[in-house]
Amino acid sequence: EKSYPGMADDDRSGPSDAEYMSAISTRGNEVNSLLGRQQYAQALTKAVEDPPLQTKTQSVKDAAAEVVDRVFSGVRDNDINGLVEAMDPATCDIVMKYVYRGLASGANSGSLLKWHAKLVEQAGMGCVIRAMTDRKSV
Amino acid sequence: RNLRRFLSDTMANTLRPYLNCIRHTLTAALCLRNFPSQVVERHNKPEVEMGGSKELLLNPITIARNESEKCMIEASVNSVRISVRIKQADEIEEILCHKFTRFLMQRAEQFIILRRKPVEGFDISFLITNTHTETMWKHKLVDFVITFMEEIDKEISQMKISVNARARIVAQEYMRQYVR
Repeated sequence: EKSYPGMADDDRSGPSDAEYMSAISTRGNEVNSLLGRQQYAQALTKAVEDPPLQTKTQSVKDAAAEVVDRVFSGVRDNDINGLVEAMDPATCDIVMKYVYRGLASGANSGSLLKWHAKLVEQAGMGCVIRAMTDRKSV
Repeated sequence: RNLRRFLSDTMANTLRPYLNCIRHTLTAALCLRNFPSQVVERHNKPEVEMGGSKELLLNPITIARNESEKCMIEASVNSVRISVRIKQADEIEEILCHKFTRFLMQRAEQFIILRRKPVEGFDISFLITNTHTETMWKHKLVDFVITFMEEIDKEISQMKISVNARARIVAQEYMRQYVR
């Protein structure tokens, strides 16, 4: 059963902002190369790995969200179903949080809405409710 | 005619997923229960409007189809506020939208779940509390909001067409006196 660092309610420890930023930039480069090789499943898993749930700094969260947005725009709409079906519940929750973050801006809404529909079909209403109620946001 | 049908199909293609997303999010947000005020004894207030206690409020979700059309859903333990920004392409649509929403909001009592003032940055707002979900079916409430969003676009474009038609007739009649 996969769990992400920082998702548990009592998890108060966490890397500092600088550590987060360096991790995000290395992850960004790896995601770019995976997207270049069209390995979308690995790119998505890599992009949502270790989300900055415990930081309060907006710029860190923005940087991490930017990496995930790159994956969202890179993936073709036809591949969304296959990618979502392969995800486990914890990943579905994290990806749903990023989908809602992306929907707030209005950019790339067409494919984000497809992601949302498929995630609800896969993970159910619980996924939506956890994205709305979780104090730790992406 | 084929171009018009093609355009309406592409418009409908982006509308359906947008409304489905709002439907799912609303169904999740409308899990409400009674919660008396923690601040004042014997008072029962919609917590999303009071905005005081952080532990009672959920993360507000905005679903934007593009820059001009979006829907914000703010939920709390006993109430949900849904704000809609309607698409207004030009000035006539802006005026029509403003007048139409003002007409509806003045009759908010009859609508029960309508808010008298829209939230800042939006055109119209709904406030649904636990009393509403206790007396009305939740899936019907969601259906109402979604149908409202669908219909308001159609109504505004119909009103715009009739305004233009009337303007054309009035201009014709007026100019008739100058034509031999």
